[in-house]
Amino acid sequence: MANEAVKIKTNRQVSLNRGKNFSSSRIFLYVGLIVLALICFIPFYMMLINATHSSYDIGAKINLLPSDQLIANYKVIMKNTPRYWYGFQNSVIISVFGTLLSAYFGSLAAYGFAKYKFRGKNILFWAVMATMMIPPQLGIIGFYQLMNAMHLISNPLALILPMAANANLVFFVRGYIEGAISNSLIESARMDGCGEFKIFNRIVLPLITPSIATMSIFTFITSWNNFFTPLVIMQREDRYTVPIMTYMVNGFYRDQFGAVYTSLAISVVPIMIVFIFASKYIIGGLTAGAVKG
Amino acid sequence: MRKSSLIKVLAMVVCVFMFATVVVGCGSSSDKSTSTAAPASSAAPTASTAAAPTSDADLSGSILLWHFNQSDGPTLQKALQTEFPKVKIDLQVTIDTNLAYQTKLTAALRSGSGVPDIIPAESAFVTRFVNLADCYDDLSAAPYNAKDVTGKMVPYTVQIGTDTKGVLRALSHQATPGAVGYKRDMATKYLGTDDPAKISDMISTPDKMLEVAKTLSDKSGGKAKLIPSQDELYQMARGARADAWVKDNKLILDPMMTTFIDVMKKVRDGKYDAGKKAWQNPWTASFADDVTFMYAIPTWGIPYIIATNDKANVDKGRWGLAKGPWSYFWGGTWFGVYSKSQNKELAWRLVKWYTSDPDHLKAWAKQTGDFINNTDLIGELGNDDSFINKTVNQNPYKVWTADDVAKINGALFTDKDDTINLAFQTATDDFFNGTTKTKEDAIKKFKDAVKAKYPDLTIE
Amino acid sequence: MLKRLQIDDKYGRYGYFFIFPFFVAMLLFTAYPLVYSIYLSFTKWDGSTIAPAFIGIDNFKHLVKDHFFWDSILNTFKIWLFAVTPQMIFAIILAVVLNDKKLKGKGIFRAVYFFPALVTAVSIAGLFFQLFAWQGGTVNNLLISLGISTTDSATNFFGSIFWTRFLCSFLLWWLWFGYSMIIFMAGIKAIPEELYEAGDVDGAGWWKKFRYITLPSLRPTILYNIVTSIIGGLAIFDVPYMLTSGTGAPDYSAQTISMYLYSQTFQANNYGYGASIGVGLCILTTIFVIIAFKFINRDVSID
Repeated sequence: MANEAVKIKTNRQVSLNRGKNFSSSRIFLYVGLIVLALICFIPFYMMLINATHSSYDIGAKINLLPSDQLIANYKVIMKNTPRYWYGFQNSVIISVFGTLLSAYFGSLAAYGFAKYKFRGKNILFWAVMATMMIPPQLGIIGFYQLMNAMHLISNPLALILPMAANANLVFFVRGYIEGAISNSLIESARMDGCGEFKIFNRIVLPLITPSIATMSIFTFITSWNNFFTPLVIMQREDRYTVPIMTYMVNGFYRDQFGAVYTSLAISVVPIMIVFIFASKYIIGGLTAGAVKG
Repeated sequence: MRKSSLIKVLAMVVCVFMFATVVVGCGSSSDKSTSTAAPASSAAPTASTAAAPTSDADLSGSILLWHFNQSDGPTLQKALQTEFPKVKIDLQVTIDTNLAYQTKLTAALRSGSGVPDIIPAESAFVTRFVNLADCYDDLSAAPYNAKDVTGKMVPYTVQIGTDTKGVLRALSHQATPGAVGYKRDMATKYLGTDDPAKISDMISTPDKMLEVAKTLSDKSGGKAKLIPSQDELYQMARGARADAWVKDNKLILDPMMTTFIDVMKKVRDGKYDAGKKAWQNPWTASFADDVTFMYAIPTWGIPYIIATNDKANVDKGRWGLAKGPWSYFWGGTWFGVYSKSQNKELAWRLVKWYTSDPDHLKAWAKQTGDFINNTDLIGELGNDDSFINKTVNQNPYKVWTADDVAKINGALFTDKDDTINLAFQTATDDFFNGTTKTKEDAIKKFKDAVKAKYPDLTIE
Repeated sequence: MLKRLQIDDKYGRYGYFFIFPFFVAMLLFTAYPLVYSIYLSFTKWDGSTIAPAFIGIDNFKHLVKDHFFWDSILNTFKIWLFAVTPQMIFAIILAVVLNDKKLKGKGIFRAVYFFPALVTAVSIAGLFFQLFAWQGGTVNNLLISLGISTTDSATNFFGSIFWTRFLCSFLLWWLWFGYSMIIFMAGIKAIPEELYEAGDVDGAGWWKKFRYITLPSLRPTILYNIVTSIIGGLAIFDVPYMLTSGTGAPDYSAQTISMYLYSQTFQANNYGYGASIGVGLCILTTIFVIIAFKFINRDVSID
């Protein structure tokens, strides 16, 4: 009884405090959040608005309202890059399959590192970490020669397969598994006669979806926006990706900035779709407390 | 729910592998087909040439053609396809953004596979590839005997296509002398005339040009600017040097370059430039405004710099072409045959036709406005009063005569130009905007930056 | 304590099966190019068909004396520090604030803060040129109309060492704080609700809960964010490359290590020397990552 009373008292105090906070710090908080949102949104918005402007308008002034050049800009895209939609298709194929590949193989490895004890594990994990430290420009010469030897020049697989080795994802998901998956959960599954891969696929994988979804957004974005590697590896125009097309849209004499923004606006759509889709999994996914032993 | 997600995952994996096998399968099979096709097509031309020279329309085979320019590439392909209807011309455009074209070409040459039969190169990097091992074939020897067609070409274009050992490797269809493009409306308003001859006289020396800059500024209350960026003066000065950046493995700072620093510093101190950067959007937009007066405009700049950025005035003669303080040239594209091509003779027929066939060149000039590489035709078109370019309301072949282009110095290119130009512009830019205090410091920093990239170079 | 974390040893060998596919891909696509680059770093090569010439450690001897290399490290570090500090502070505060159940519109805020991460430096650099142009730029025009600046004293942003670095840092912050925020939010989601309920019972205020519950529980996430930002930070390339048109101007003050590697390799065609810069960068990154592990992860080990 006494305990109960104390509890009620504290709760009331908390809510009283919250009520007081609303008048001053809450408003302050909202103002801060809104200002920050504007800083994030305005350049993004301007980028989209520029898609409807002529090259001259964009270079001469800052535009905050839409104009009527969208169709003209689109025509420029079709003229300078007639295979634009091939590029779009290539980008979708590469990013989607690459992301799936990196998500599955990456979380397999993450689970292997998080929940098994085996000889050389420490060294192997550091080897994974070490691959994160290689600057992307460094490996391109060796990578090209490898792809040439594998006859994968101009083949989307040259960009998809390497995504299976996404060290970033392993690092992140491993940390998540250690926190979110208790050993007792795995042990009880073993008692029920589940095999190791079955445990992973049926029990672990659904539970760690939020962390995979979080990382996969970035995997997808990075792959979608990747410019340099596809530029060197893809030698045929019908195998180009959207970022390369966006560069080509501007023309050799760089006179089509309006069309560039139109292409950027087109290319941001799939990323937004993926973001909206995946963010559902980040929020809704897991109540971590429930699985903790 | 768990079951369904397992199925999803399995489905994904299966998809990935199915996709993988399909793509691998396609990739390797298409590889095979091209590799088996290659010897067959290489055999064909040899057989045909042995019999009798086939006419262009009857030639067949397939040619892989790369290009770095998505405006010129398709135009070139179309022209070739019309002349050689039975030849399959596979054009692949790689833009040179972030040096991609050069990187890709270097990588392909190294691996020896996927190299195009015809290799175009732009002025910025042509010297590098002309001198690169296993890139261009020797055009002076059989079966090319290119000496037969170089006689009518502007000498400097042949000189640039020749490597340091004197072997001819690439040819160009165009000559690219440069002039000053100016806005006639601004000239009339502030200088009282828009006549190219008078404007040429007003800017014939750097000092007189600075006078014009002051007049523009004074009469407009500081609003009108002589040039949009330092790049304009730089392009002119660079193309007007006597010596290339490197001679006998020694870095050379041509007097023209120090002149450029002095003149540009005066322009900046007088606030006569608009402080933009070439090829960025504010720069391209400035063509349509009434603030910036003049630009470095080479032959190809009329359609591709002026007309494309001042769309409203393409055929209104708003622009004029004058001779600036320095005579210079800027740009150009060269073509050669890959040294290990399977289709050398066919590739050469295409290159030869495109760079030297008089009928084609004449038609090309009329169709595209390009300044062609044939001294006879340059003279002929200069006397043709019907040949007026509507953007500038002048005959470009009158602005640049055959004598003018014959005087152009072709010994200005080295394989290190890109890097050295960038180092020079970075160092001088710092001087113009005050980060580096003195001209001597700027030159020292320039040399320092070159030394870091080319430690084997003698730098005094 | 460490043993308790691990599953019974007889299952240990399954670990190899789980990591096997990943390692195949890693050895092939990441390790091979790296080894090849290390080999190149001991050669002199112009990228042509003429094979690389082995020159021992000459490239590295040259590298330690190359002030452009050391300057580029300092530049990278300065740009990174002024980007990553606000990035982490904003990210963690926003992650906590947007986790508040009573906050209205948090879904919208979270989405909007993430918008910048959807675009590339390339697409935003053009806007920056326009906003911060010297003559006629939006920011300068605004300052002039507000009477803060005049036409004559307008700031030449991209001609100033301070402003160029500042804009690089700002753009990096702008691009990435939403990313870090999402990572932190995922970490906060994994903190058991009971801990906060217990905190409420003890009458802990938001600061105490943040200090004694959120921060300690977030340690692996913080480690992840710091380590990836060190790795990404030392390899900064696209933002300064785009904002300075590849030059690192003025006075190479925004030339990062990766930019120097790139210009030596692909522009000057010093493939061997470029590779040695890359190896230098790898060593540097490794040192920093080890330091970060030592500081943040003192009592958590992989095993």
